[in-house]
Amino acid sequence: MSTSRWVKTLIISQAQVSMTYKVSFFISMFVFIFPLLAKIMLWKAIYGAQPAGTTMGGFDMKDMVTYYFVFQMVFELTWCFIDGHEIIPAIVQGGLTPNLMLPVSYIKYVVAKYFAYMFVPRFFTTLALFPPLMVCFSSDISLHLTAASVLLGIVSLIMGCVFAFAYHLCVGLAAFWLENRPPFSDLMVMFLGGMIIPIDLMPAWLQRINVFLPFQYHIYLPTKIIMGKMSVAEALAGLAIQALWVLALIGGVNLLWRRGVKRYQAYGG
Amino acid sequence: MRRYLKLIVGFWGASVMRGTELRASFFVSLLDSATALLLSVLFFEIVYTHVHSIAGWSKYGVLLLLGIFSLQMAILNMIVRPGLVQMGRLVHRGDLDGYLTKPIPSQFTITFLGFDVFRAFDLILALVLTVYSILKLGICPTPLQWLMAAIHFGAALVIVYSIWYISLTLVVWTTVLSSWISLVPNIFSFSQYPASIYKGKLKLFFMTALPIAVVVNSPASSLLGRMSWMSVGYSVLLAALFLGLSIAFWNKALRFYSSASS
Repeated sequence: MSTSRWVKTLIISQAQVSMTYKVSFFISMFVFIFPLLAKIMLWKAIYGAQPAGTTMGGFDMKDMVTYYFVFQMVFELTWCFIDGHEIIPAIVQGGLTPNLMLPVSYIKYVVAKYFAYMFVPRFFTTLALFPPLMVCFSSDISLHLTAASVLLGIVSLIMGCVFAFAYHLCVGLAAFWLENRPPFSDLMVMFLGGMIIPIDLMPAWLQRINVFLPFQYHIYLPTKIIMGKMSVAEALAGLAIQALWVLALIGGVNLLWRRGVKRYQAYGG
Repeated sequence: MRRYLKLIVGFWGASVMRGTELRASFFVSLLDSATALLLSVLFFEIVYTHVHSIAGWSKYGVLLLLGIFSLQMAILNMIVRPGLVQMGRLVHRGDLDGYLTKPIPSQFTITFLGFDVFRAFDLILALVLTVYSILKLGICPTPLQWLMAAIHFGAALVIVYSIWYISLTLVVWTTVLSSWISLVPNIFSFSQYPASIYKGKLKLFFMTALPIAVVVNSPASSLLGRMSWMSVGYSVLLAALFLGLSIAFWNKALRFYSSASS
């Protein structure tokens, strides 16, 4: 079977698997809403107690609410749990062994599998939930989409998706040495990636360090581009750096896989 | 009672052995389990560099709320979640049959089936944050205020557990849990912030139908001397009501359970 055919078959079958249980799928769509709404209410209370027009890190109240909505949307489309769900258990429990005998690359196999398993349902979640949610909060949102912000945002979002896969593959493959993920791997990407609070609100020294780290190129960059918070020149420069980090992470995946698989030992029949 | 305690010790002992068999993994998991708490602390640390109070709560007041919320979540994640997370598998594969035939209530067995030793670090950090916040607030709660806070805290644990169990009982009809297990903890994320940020009908809803305002705000407010004994009675009543509901709903659901095994 050619590569394109097995990839296509795998994607279709995994998409079907992810939506087999309709009620469960339906409920999983709503899981993220509550922390998002809680955070928005908190920010509304924070800004509500300040003089009108107050900004923090260049964000007024509407910018902040918009930020959390767009960030969550990009997160839903790009976040990946391939490490904890697939790779780490396979390495630690020995489930990797049969996969090494398959006539296809294990890395390509898990990427295709998880792309369909996660992306397809999340794509529908995003389409079904975010537009109505954003309409409900329209008076608190300020989103002025332009052709450039949409186009560059989509490019950045696709690269963010590749970034997420490559990053979580690296984290998962570290289990060859650690028997688990590296400590704080999620904390780094969540905090320094702007999930908890916009990077612009962080202390200046932290922002300076963060420039040299990859984390903001996962979700934060697409979010800021879509929000129109970056000029076209800034967005293009950001995309170039994002592409470099994606390449570096893909290189990291190849290196960790080659070294790790030599170290891998599995016993039993 | 002794039989139940012996069972709990047996369940938990096996879970701890399983959790600690890979030494490197054990230490990494210990560190990683604190992620959620660290993120929340960092969030408030940054927010309070821009503002002085949130809905009338100072930085250390909010950190006290966060500490108590994290303490509750750590306890539930350590003791209750490992069992509840298996409920989907038990129903889906028909393994629940084995527990239904035992001479102890199946809800008890499922609830205490596992023990997540990695949450111990979470628990310690939450405790440290709570004590640190109390010291920084400069408050010195009286023994009665401590007692009031402890009763509120216990009642809150029972309320969250009961609502969690009720929501997961639905698996008898849906047969698959998936991300459902995260639904109730996510809903309770509302409770880690001061209740005063919620206004109007939403506040009423969070005080009565889904009493998340009671869950964290009451123990913290008790330590700050803002609660009355009347509120303690209300918390205990709510806890008893929700626990009773969870038991009644589980027993009702079992009538619809059809074994998947042979």
